[in-house]
Amino acid sequence: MHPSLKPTALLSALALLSLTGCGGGDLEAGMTLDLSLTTARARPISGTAGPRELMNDQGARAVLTGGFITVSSVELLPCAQVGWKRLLRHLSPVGTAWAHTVSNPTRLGTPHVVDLGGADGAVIRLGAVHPPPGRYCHARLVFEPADDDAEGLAAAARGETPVNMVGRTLHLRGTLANSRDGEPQPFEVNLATRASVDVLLEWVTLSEAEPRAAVMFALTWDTWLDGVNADRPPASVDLVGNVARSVVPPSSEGP
Amino acid sequence: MKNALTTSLLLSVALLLIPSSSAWACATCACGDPTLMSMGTEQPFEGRLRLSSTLRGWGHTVGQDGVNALRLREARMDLAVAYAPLPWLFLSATLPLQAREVRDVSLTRERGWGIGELELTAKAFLFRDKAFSANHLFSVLGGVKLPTAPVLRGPDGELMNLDAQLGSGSVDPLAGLAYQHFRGSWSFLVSATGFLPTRGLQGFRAGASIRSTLAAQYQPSAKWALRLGFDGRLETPADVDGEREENGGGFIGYASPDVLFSPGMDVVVAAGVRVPVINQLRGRVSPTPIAMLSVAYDL
Repeated sequence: MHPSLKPTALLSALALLSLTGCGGGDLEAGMTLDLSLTTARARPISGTAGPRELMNDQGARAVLTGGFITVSSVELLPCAQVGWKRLLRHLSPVGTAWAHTVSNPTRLGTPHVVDLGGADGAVIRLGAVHPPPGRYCHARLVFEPADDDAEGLAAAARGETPVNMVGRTLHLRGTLANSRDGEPQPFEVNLATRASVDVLLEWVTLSEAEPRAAVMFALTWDTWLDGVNADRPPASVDLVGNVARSVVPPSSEGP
Repeated sequence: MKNALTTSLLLSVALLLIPSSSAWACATCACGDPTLMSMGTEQPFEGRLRLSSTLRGWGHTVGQDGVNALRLREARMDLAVAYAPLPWLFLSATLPLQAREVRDVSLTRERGWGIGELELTAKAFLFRDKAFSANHLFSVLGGVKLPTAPVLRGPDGELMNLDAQLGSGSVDPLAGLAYQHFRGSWSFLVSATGFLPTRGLQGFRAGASIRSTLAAQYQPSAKWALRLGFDGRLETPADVDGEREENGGGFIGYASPDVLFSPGMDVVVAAGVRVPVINQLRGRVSPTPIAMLSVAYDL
């Protein structure tokens, strides 16, 4: 062994090095698009109407006393992916399992049970996606039955009228009068159907210069009972489809 | 901190176990073979103590560009010490110092640096045709990789991405065997080592793997040598809490040319590259070539 180099000294140095123990890390955020929902009216109604009173396209009047809708995923579609690529995607088999859809950089796959609430204006945060830089023209919102670890389930089950949304896409209850002078009748509907909608995003652009943006979709709840009349009770109408069609394109904004 | 203490303890134990008796001044003289050997392939003789440092740069991209690609780049320096307390036994410890960067498709960057996971191995030479200047060596290897790397967290205190962590945080046993043949200016190596990772950080378990090396070395002079090898890795897919990773698992093979040079007695410098030539990994895994530079010194 080389006399001038003691292995003990070298190993001690190594031991000291490991004692520093250490390590560190840092994170530099990339593209982030915050997604949220709110509720709004699509049609004007007389000032005396209650906050959740509506008149549908058939002239029926209703008051919603409770409602929950499950948003199972929100996916961004790059501008290039509308057109024939989108058609191909529509033709592909769509899974209907009641489970989390897979999240990826352009898709928020965590299901949220959204409470309609008592009044408009509340902002419901869905989460954020971290997509590649680019321009996004559309977002696809999918409404599907909630799985057993969807966010918002507990809140739905805790309310004044507890609702178990597992396996349900839409829960709606209230009163319904099929004519202006008709007697309001209570109704409650629970649906487990699926619907999706592609919503225009008005050129949401994410780049290194502008890495963060937020979009807020609005659900125009007063169209949810469209198609309901004396001959067609709520349960026989595609209410989940109405919910999907009620999504209003958001205006994009910076953080 | 716990990991650091574990590392220190193990190194201290190793330190205590190493006797300070003197050995041969010339390592190649001591084993009777002038072949320049990189770390891990040396012939043993009682009291041989070898230190080495290996620099490596490598990376890979997993996933689809512009969709979900995740790019990893790492620079690491492995500090290793190997000691032969008996003529047939080599004990070694390797501690990596690592710096890595992970960039996902959204351009989010995570960087981690620090000490990595300590690997302890014992290599027993079960057969040699001659006690001195052996032509045939057969050895078996056993060891373990320990979770000595710190668990890295981002500025917000959240755990950093698994790929940005410096190790898997698991105790991974390994075992292997090797055969070496020396014939004049030529030498040959065949080895296979199996790894059986356990579950570690964030529910992650790397796939079980077998890593093999097939190499031939030509040494036209005492000072330098050329080595050409083929390194293969056959592995099962990794999983997180039982859910199989979409990408990875399968087989990958590298062509591994090296140049070995001895600038002075008992010093071997090796430089080389590992070029992926066969990629049969599942999904989309695109590895970069691995650049390597090492220095080994016999004390």
